[in-house]
Amino acid sequence: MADAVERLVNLALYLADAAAPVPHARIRAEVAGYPAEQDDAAFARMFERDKDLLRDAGFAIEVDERGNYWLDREATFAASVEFSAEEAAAIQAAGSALVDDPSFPFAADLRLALAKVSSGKAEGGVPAVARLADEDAERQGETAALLSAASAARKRVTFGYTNSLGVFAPHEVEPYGLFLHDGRWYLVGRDTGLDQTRTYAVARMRDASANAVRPKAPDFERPADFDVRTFVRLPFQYGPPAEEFEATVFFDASAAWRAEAVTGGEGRLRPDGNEFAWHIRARSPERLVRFVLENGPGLRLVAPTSLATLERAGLEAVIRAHE
Amino acid sequence: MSSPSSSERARRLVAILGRFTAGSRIPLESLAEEVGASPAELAADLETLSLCGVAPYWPDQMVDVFVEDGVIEVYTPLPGLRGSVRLSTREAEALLAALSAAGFSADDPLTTKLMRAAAGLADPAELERTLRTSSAAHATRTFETLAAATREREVVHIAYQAEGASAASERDIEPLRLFAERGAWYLSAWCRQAGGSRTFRIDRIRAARRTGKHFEAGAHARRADAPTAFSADGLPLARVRFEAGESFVSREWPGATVAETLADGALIALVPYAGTDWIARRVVARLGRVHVLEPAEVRTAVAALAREAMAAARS
Repeated sequence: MADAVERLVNLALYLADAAAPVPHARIRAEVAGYPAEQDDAAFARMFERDKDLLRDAGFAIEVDERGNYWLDREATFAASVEFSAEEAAAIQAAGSALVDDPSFPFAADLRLALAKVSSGKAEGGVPAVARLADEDAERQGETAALLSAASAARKRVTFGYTNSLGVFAPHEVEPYGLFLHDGRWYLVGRDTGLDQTRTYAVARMRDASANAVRPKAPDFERPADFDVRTFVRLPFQYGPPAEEFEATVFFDASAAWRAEAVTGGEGRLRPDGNEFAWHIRARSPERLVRFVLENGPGLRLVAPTSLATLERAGLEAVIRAHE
Repeated sequence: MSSPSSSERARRLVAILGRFTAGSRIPLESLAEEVGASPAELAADLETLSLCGVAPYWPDQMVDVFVEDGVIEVYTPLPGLRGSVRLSTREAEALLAALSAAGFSADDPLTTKLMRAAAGLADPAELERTLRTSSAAHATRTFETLAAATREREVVHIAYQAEGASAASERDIEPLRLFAERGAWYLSAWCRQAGGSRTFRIDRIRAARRTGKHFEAGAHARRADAPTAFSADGLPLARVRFEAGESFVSREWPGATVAETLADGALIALVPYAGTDWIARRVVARLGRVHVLEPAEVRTAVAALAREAMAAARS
């Protein structure tokens, strides 16, 4: 009897070669590998699994209402794509670095993607490595993979969580999205116990698992306006919401070139002559002053003016301690 | 490592079917490395592939692939195949996540080109709303230039503005390895101006141009073997006091160690520094809650920077 790999490849080639839609009974008869002694129910289960696997591999298998199957060739086979030497090198650098990074949750799929898009003509590789997460990289990567798959399938997850006060508690969350920030993965989702959208550090989770009941049936709908990017915060944006204020920071001409990098897409960045004015919401005055000083030279805090007193007092303390 | 499952092996084969065009000769070892298999595993899978075909399974309807002397040989077109199979949604999303981690947004020309040609149902803009893998803020064209130059062992001319520096410096470098750490990308290189190994943060490279001049592999490669954004080896140490209540987080002070915890709750840390600009700016930003005890050159730099910041704030 043919092994499973042989049956799956036979099915792929059969569908690719078929000139017209074919009923499953003919597939069963003509594709080598489906056991002749198998009953209808067992065949149906095996065929369902095989189709899912081939779809996961990129085959666009379609079916009509009468149970005839065919391959959407345009959706299955890639158009020819030519990359410049720089583009190919960039794909190779990013890909080869992340495929071996244990904190990157999609390494297995990335490896197959790279094998597909590579022409095989590349001469030599691009030496590149990555460590996206720097704490317990492997566990963060594995947990982020589980959470990402649950988010894609819209299945609830449960985990134990130790908060910043050291209190451990179980949580059930509808995982809306994930982000990586400063070497750590974070989950954003609705905590069903609290009925609030919360952000959780993946490194603080224990025993995460996804709801395995009816895996193809979603447990929740993600809000239509959800955008994980709005949950990524700069250090001065943490604090009580009631203390939030609007600040303005100027990047002078010498620092304008890195304004986008420093702001990370947060707030509104507006050109003002040869400078940039950055309007940003903040919650911690002291952390904002620290951020501006740490990312200088060329940044100055313009508003609110009350922060000037805080900045001046801090700088005077620095001067006194170092003279 | 556990043996791959049947489905993993099948997906692996499907991923490379497009390579098997009539007349192609592909080194087994390099293809095995690409798909994450051992040469023996891939050879076994290819043997299975050679048993595959379409009904009625006559010889001219079978996959005509053989492995001989470490080379995969394909004699006739594979039945039914019309090129490479597109990326599945999961594969496309994995590639998008990798490119995003390297700073390529959903609307970057490279992402657009790749998705249009290679991917089916994946929606880069939708993925960006649910998954964010990067805070990398470099110019993607610079990343492309550096990646290509690293592969080709080509000297690159860069304008580089280090952290805390007020102007960029021009230099020729031999790029050795790219690496990502905590969201930022760096380049390990041999700097011809400095005559030494240097690490360049890519978002601080203001311009990069390939020169067309090539360098020998291996001459300065040792430094690139253990890439890290900050190596404390051989650097001078500053004794730095953190007042009680001021947090000391080692990842914010790379290579630093706690030397002493004082009765009043303050602590003394030894902080390695390559130049005074970086450490002075870190200390000044702590607004008097962190003081440098020694050496004098760092204390002087901190005081000078604080005065400069005071003057800038007044203006």
